[in-house]
Amino acid sequence: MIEVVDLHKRFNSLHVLKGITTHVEPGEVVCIIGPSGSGKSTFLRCLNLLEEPSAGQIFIEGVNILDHKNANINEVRAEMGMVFQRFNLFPNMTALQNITIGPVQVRKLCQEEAEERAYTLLDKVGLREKAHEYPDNLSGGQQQRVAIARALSMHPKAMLFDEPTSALDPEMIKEVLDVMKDLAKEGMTMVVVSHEMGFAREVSDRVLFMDDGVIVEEGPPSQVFNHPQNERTKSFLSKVL
Amino acid sequence: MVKEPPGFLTTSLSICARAVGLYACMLQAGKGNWQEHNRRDNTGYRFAGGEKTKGVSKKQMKHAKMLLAPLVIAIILLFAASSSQAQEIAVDTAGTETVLRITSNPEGAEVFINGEPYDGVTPLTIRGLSPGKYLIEVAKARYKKESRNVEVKPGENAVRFSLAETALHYLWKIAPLLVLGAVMTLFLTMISVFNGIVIGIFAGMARVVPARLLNIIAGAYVNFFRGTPLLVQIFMIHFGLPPVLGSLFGDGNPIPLNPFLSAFSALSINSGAYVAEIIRAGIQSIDRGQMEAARSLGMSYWQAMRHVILPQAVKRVIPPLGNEFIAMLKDSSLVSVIGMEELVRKAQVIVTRTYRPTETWLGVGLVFLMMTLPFTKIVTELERRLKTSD
Ligand SMILES: Nc1ncnc2c1ncn2[C@@H]1O[C@H](COP(=O)(O)OP(=O)(O)O)[C@@H](O)[C@H]1O
Ligand SMILES: [Mg+2]
Repeated sequence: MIEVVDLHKRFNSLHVLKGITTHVEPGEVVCIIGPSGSGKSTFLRCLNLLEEPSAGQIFIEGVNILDHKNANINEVRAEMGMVFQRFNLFPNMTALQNITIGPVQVRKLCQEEAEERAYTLLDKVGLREKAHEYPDNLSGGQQQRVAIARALSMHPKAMLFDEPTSALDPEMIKEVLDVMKDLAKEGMTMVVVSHEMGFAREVSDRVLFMDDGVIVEEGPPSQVFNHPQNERTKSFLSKVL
Repeated sequence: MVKEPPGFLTTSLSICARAVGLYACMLQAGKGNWQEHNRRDNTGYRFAGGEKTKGVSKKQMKHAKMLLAPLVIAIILLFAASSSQAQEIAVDTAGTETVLRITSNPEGAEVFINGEPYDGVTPLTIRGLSPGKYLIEVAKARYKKESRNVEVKPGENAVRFSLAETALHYLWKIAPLLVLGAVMTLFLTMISVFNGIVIGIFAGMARVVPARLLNIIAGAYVNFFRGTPLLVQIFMIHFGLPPVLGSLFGDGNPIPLNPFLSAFSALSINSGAYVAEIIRAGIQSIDRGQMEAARSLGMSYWQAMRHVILPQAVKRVIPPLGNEFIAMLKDSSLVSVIGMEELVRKAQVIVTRTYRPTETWLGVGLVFLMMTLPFTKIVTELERRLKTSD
């Protein structure tokens, strides 16, 4: 479903992604792990073009999204739900409005239908009663669950998570991971950058270990976690596990 | 001036003589005053002169009518005996009479001679003073007391006082003019800042949108008008533009701009540059993640701006816009140099007329303060609320 071929990203002289090649199958849950600064976020952001790749190709359902003749950048993004480390909810809107704004503005849904669907999504993340709260009045875990509902509101083909729990207090991590597990069970295609090794081990189909702009090792979680092949993977895992 | 108190026996005699003399004087004075009155009227002299003589003749001739002469003499005798003033009354032996005229602008001031209140208000003619030095003071409510040492010589003497209003009364009197100027200043500022906001929204947006050419043009505008003195900008428009306009749209002769137009344009364009910077800062103060979240939903740049960024930026922009309004309220005074009749210009005109710069400029300062203070309070309150809501 997602195919990445020799992806490079440079910030001026800084070479951050040095040739990433991988693929994500429909319904697959891929976890990306790796040390800070290794380029995980940059890679994820390239997938929905929040960063423009310097070289390489990205195909989504066979369409080269870097070919501006074929792909409308806004449509590409609408098909990829993104969840940020710091939630990035719109503070000027209620939880409900955060979830309806995309469908109404981008998909041109009428307000009633968008709200109906928004309530369904709020049920899914267990926050129907917070529909009319502003983000400032929600806890971190609640905010992140609203953010997931917001991303889902566009009916994306895949969901990208950039360290969704690392800005949360420990007691709130579980409620967010539970929502993500439910999504995985429903068959959502997911790419998750996370330091939650438990989640990666339990939920993911495949783990990518990134270091210094390249994928050093990849494979099923049991293999990567239990029998890492690469020295760098071993040393990283020994620090985090 | 006061003669040595004479011996008891001679006193009554001399008083009698003086009283008779005074009576004769009054008759004469009456005639003279009337003549003087007519003369002054004919020459178109200030009517105050006429009024003065009328006042004098009324006060001092009332009891000197011929029919009542004996009674009057008796009264004057009594009066002269009891009043120290009577002692000052002297008849010049040479026949020329000593007259002191005290006038003041405005009239109606009480008169004090050597600290003693004198019966009557200005304009006042005092006859029969013995020549010498006198301390003359005039006082009137709401005016500053004036005093002067006067050397009274035989013959005609005139002292003219020009009373200055007390500071408070002066300010009260010029207040309507200042308020008029303040209204103009307020109007000028409101229109200019409104225009400035319209210009500034476009220029500020033009600085942040992903369009290189717009960034450069808007940047040049903002930097030019923030980096040059407002006074120079006013001169550029008011004096620099007419020749250009003339050669572009006229016969080559400069097309003069009226001060209103120049003032409004200069202040609006200047304000636009500052507002642009406020708008730019407001937009850029919104967390990058907001734009990214909006774009990740598939919104276009403009949709994200309109629904996500600008509504948040507006809140943050309002307090600095309030400050810009306050700054413009003060800076608008610069257009006085091209003759725009706002508060400062009004004050300059007032000062050239009244010669009272101290109170006038203090008043102008207070009027400015009264205008800025409420806005300062409002801005502080807005900033406080913004802080708690963030
Ligand atoms: N917008 C940017 N401009 C310049 N350098 C950046 C930018 N974004 C990320 N980087 C750099 O790219 C490198 C990788 O960053 P990132 O992808 O965020 O790593 P990770 O998410 O794995 O911690 C870091 O060195 C970071 O400083
Ligand atoms: Mg990161």
